Amino acid sequence: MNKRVILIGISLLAFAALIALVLSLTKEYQFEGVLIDPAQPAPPLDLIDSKGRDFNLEDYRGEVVLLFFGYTSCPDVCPSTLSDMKQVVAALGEAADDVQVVFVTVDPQRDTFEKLNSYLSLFNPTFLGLSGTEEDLEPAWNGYGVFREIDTESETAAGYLVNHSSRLYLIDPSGDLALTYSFGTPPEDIAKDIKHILDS
Amino acid sequence: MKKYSLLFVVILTLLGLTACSQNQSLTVTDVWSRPGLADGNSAVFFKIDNPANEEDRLLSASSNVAAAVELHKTTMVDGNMQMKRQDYVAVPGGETLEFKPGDFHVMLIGLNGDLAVGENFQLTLTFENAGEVQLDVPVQEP
Repeated sequence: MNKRVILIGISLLAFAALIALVLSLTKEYQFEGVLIDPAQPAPPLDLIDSKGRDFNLEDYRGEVVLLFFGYTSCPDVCPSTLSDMKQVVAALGEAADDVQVVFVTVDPQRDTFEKLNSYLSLFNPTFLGLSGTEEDLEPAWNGYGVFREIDTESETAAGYLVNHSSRLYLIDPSGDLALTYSFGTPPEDIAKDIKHILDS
Repeated sequence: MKKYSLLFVVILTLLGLTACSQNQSLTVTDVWSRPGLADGNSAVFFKIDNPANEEDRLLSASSNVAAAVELHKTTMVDGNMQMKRQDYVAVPGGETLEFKPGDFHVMLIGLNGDLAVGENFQLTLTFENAGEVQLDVPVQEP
């Protein structure tokens, strides 16, 4: 009788463990970023990179692209975001080989390729800057719904400031715009999402 | 005897006042600057603790590492970053105000040379009541 009770108990425990395992495997991953559902094909970025080469998003299929729009004279939000990107890349370890950080200027008048290159090297020499003429950049800004406004009213020795969107965009390995992140999202949360995408 | 008692009271009062004024002096801590490149811009962050009863105002900042030094504030409006120059920054009595990324910062405009991690430079903050506060600013990663 005792043996039977023990056997039933063990069977119940094994069944419960199996159910827990199935549930954990089928549980949907909760992204930390804002999910674009369904994901949309990422608008093209037909620009020149800070190394002087033609940039083509399609060359990055199979990788995750982290995209940010900013300007090198920006002392606060842009370097904060790039510092965060540096931490994301560090947190990913070897998986960072499949991640490309791209910084598109909203200030083509002042952001020369040389300036973009040396500025981004402050954070990570693998980060790419993209620029072009204002005409070249307009489709990229519009494609991603980027707000950009030259502020000439504030009197500053910086000449002028540029008010701009501060969101970070994630393009997945199939070339779709999959997630966005608001300014200040912890780097470890972004790294966690990227790991999940690369492992899927 | 009375004379000595009076002297004792005066000394105690003076000691008390000194202690009071020491406790109520404004302090600036947790100072750091981002790295930056020559001719580029950077920013300095810190915490201002104002234990006094009345408000003080940060009026200006100066340093010889940049062509100009200004007080700025970043604000987010519908996810868009806006930065505005501040004529002054008020620090309410009994409160601590933090200059931090995405908020108040001292903007260094037109750096005279590279600011590399590990370097230090001098920055002077001028307050309406507390006067000048000299800071030794380490350049570091956030």
